[in-house]
Amino acid sequence: MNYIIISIIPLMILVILIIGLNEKKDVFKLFIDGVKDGIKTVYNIFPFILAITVSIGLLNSSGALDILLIPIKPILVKFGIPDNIITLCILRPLSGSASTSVVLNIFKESGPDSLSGKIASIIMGGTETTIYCTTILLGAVKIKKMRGILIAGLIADSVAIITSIILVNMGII
Amino acid sequence: MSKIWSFMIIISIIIAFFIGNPDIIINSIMDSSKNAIENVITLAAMICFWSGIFNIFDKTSISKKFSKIFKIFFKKIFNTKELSDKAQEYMSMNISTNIIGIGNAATINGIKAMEEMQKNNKYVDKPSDNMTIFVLLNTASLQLIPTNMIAMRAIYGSTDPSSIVIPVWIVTFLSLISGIISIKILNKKIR
Repeated sequence: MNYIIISIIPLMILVILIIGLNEKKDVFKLFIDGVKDGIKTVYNIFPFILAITVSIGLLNSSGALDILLIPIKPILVKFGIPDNIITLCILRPLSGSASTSVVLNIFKESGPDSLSGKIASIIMGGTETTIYCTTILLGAVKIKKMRGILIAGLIADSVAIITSIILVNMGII
Repeated sequence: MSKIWSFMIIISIIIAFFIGNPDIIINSIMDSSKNAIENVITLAAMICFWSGIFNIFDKTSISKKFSKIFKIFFKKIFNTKELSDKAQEYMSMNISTNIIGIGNAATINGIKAMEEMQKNNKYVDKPSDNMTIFVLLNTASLQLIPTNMIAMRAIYGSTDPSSIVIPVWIVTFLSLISGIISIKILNKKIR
């Protein structure tokens, strides 16, 4: 099973190259052109990555995040949601690296098979960095208004978090 | 975006003053800018590589056939009349790379799909209905096997690291459905 999973990506590259050669395409030139496009894309999305990383970093290191969480935390703890999961829920839509470090802390403190370890694993596997993703995709086409995307994305994330907690509490895994 | 972004910065600065260490602000800005550069360099390498590979795929006849597999699915959730064939090709590559779990390839194909959709967009500064649904799909974790998470669980001594796979599928499915329903409702309300 593992072997199949790790073979998919190399196989895909192989197949793409073979198809290209088979259709008598100048595969090397196409690759180089693609890379040039890629550089332009990175150039276009970098400002958005910088903007979002700096603002999230500030929110995190100034302690603003903890203070904003003070009124919410006791309510959620009453519902049986572990304290560190709440921090994870807030960081997950914002930043992949910040949420990963929260999960690793949970793993270190209580282990990956503990209640919060399981919840954290499922939340990480079942959700994406919603705000980061939206910023990059809209930033690439220079759109600044988001319409309903953020609200819908956060609704989807909340559903993911709630189902993760329910599934673990039901003893599914 | 402007409002959220400035809110995050303003509240952080005000709170740093209250706590009494405003110097944390400039340190944090320096740290995260450095992080952003470091991230973008790794990102750039992989985005460029996948952009090259998928440019080959894009120019072969297979890519058109490939996007046909996704046509039925696209018809269900998008307004396909407003989607060009090119956009559908990039969208199907974006979704399939997301499913396999090559995030960087998904990013580059997603951006190209957005660029194609922007050509048919009536407004310059607002995403079209199709674009909002597409972005939402990308904010859901479509990855079939959460390999990173399984690896991390294994490193930290889980007895059954891959036990999360099926719960992750249930979670993804439910969150995707609720996300799509919400964006469809919101699209009618927020023009």
